[in-house]
Amino acid sequence: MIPHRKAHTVSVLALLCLGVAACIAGGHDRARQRMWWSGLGPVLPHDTFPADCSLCHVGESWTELVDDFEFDHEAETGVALNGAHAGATCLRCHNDRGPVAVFERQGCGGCHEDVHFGRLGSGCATCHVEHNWYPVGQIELHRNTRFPLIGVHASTACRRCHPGAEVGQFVPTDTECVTCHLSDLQRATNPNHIGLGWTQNCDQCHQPRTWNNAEIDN
Amino acid sequence: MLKSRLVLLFVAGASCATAWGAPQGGPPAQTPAEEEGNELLELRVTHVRGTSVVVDRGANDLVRVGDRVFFRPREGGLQPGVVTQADERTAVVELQTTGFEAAPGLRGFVRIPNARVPAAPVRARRKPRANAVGEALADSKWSNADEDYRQGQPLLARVRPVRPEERPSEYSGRWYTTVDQIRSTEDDRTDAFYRVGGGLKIENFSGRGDRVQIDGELNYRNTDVPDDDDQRATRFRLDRFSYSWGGTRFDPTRVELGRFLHNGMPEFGVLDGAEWTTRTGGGDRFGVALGFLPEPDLDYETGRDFALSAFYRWVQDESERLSASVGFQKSWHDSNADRDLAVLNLSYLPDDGWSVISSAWIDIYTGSDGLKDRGPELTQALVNVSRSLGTDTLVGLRVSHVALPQLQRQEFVVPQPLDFVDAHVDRASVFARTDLSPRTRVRAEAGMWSDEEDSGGNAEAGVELSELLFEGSLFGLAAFGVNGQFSDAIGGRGYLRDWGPSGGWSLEYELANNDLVGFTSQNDDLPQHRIRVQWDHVSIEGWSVRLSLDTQVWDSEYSVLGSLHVNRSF
Repeated sequence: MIPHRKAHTVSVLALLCLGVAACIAGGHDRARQRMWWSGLGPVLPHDTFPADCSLCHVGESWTELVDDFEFDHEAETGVALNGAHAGATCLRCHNDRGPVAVFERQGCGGCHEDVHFGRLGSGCATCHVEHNWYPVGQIELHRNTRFPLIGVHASTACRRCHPGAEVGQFVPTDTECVTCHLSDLQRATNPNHIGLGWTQNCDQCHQPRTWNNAEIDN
Repeated sequence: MLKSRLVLLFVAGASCATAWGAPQGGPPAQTPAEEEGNELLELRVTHVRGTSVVVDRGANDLVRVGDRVFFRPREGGLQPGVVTQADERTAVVELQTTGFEAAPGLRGFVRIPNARVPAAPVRARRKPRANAVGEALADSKWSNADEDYRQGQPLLARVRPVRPEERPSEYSGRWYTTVDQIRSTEDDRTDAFYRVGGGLKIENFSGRGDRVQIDGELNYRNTDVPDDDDQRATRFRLDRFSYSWGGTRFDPTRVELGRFLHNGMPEFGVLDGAEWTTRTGGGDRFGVALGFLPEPDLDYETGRDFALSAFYRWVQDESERLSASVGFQKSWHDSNADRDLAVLNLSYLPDDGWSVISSAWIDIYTGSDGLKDRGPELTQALVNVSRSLGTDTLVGLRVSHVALPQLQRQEFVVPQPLDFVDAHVDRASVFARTDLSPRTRVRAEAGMWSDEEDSGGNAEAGVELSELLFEGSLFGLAAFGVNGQFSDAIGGRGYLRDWGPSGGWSLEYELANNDLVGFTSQNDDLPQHRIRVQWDHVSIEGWSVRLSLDTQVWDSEYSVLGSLHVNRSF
C-alpha cells in the first residue's frame, strides 16, 4: 500500500468512526429537553393558559411536563413548526431575547445567524430546508447565474470554484476559463499554448464535455 | 403536525376566530362572542369521566348548573352538553349525544344569560389572532417590568421572570458527519470530501447568565484530477469559540469575546476579538468591535487582518417593522491599511404582506489602492421586495450588484488585474407563485444578468400538484431557458416527492440541451441528462439522515455524486 493511500484510508476511517461516535455520543433523551425546571420561570406568558395546571405539569414539583405533552403550535398560534423546528424546545424561540413575534417577522434571520455575511440575501429557503439545513438543488440554482453548470462542471465540488464555500462564502468567481484552469494552460505544451499566445478564449477550441481534447472549429 | 391533545389558550383569538368562522352544522347560529340574550364563553375539556367531562370554566366564570354547553369536535359539527356541577374554576358537563367521545383539549363554549353578567363581569375575552401579535408587541415588548403579586391577580400571570443567571446551566448543539464522493468518467476524475463537525452551546455557563459556544469541523479531502491540481489534506477548522453575556431583555448590553460572527452587523464577518453592543430604551442598537479577521476560506487563517468596526441600528418602534442600520469597518492587512467598508441596511416588514429588505456595501478608496479610483464604490447591493397577496400568492423582485473590491487580504478569487477593475455582476429577477387550488401551485421566475463583458437571462415556469399520485406526494414539472455567458440552454424538469413525519424521498429528472456559445462549429450542442434520487429520514429524537445520488450524463461521459449526511441535534 502506497503511503498516501494508507493515509487516506486512515483518515477516512478515523473520520467515519469519529462521526458515528459523535452522533451516538450526542444522543440524549429528547424528553430531557422537555423538562421544565422550576428555575426557568414563566418565560412563556401563562395568563391565557387553562386553569388546570395538570394539563401540562406533573406532580407537585412543576419541574417536568406530562409524558404525553403535545402542543399543536399551528392550531394554537397560527404558526406552523416544520422540520427541525417541530422538535425544538420552547425556549429556543421563546426566551430572554424578547417577544418572538419580532424575530418571526424577520424570518430565518430573526433567530439564525447569517453565516453568509449578508451576501446571499434573505431568502434562506431558496437553498435550505427546515429539517436538516443541508443545502440542496445548487445545480438548478446555478442556472440563474451567468455560468450554468454544464458538462464536467456540474459534477465539480462547489469548493473547487468557490474557495469560501466551506464556510458559507459564495462570492462570484471570475468566469474566464483561466481563472480556474491556469495550471491546465501552463501544462499545455503540445502545442505550446502560452508560446503561441493562446491564453484567451479557451472555449473556441475546448468544450466542457471534455477538457483534454480540443475540437477544431469548422 | 403534532396532534393536539392538550389545550392551551395561548393565542386563543386565532383559534376562536377560526372556529367561529368555519362553517359548521347543527344548532345554534354562531356569532363570535354573543347571541341574543346570551354571552358565549369559550372553554375546553380538561378531563373525561365516562359520559361527562370536566371543563376549565367554573362558577368564577359565571357558569351555573343547567347551562347549555356545545363542543366542537375536529370532525365538525357541535355536540351538546349540560352543566351538572359548577365548582370554583371548573365545571362538570354531561354529554348528551350517545356515542360521542370527548378528548382532553376539546374546545367548546357555554351560554351564559346576559342577565347574569352584570352581577359580575365575565372573564375578558381573548383578542383575535390577527391583532394578538401586534398588541402583544405594543403591550409588553421589552417592557415586562417586575411586578409583585397583587391581590386578585392570577397566580401564574406576570410574576417575576427568572433571570438567565438564576437558571440551571444547560447545553444544546449538534453533531454531523457528511460523506460526499464524486466520480466522473472524464479522465477518471474523483473527489472525496468527508466531514465531521459539531457545535455546542452552553447557557448560563458560570452561573452569571453567560454563554459559551463552540463550532468546529474536521474534514478530509482528496481530489484526483488529471493535472497538478490534486488536493489531499486533512484539516480542522474552528468556526466559533466564544464567550458572551448580556443582550437579553434584562441586560441590554452584550459582550462577546473569542472567535464569532459579528452580532451587530454580520456583514463584517467572523472576528477573532471582542464586540460590545447595547440597546437603547427605544430599541435602537449600537456597538463596536475589534480584532482579527480570519480569511473566509478553508484554512481560516488569522492574525494578518486587523479590523475595527462600529454600527448603529435604528428601529422605528419596538415592533421593528421599519429599521435601518449603518456600519463602518476599517481593516489593516499586515499592518498596512487595507479596506474601508461602509454597510447600509434598510428593511421594511409591515403586517400587510409587504417585505422589503435591502443592503449596500460601499468600499471607500483613499487613493493608495492603485487599481481603483479614489472615492466610494458600490461593491455590493441587494434589494429583495416581495408582496404576499392573501395566503396563496406571492410576487417579488430581486436585484443584486456585486463588484470585486480591491483588497490585500485573500478573500476573493481575483481575475486578471486588467479585468479586475470593472469586474461586476448585476442581476434582476421577478418571481411569482400562486395556488390555483389547495393542491395546485404554479410558479414562474424570469431574470436578467449583466457583467463587464456580456449579458443574458433566464426564465423558468412550473406547476406543482400535491396528492396527485398518493397521499403526501408532490409532483412537479418545470420548463426553463437560459442565456448564459458561454452556453444557452432550454430544458425541462420533472420530479416526484413524498414526505411524511419521519422523512421521505424524491426522484428528479432533468433534460437540457446546451448550445455552446463560444464554440462556433456544428458540434456545439450538448444534451445533458440529470437524475437525482434522495432519501431522508428525520426523527423527533433529533436524527436527520440524508442519502442522495446525483447522476449527470452528457455525450459519452457521466458523473455520479453520492452523498450521505447524518445529523444529530441535542
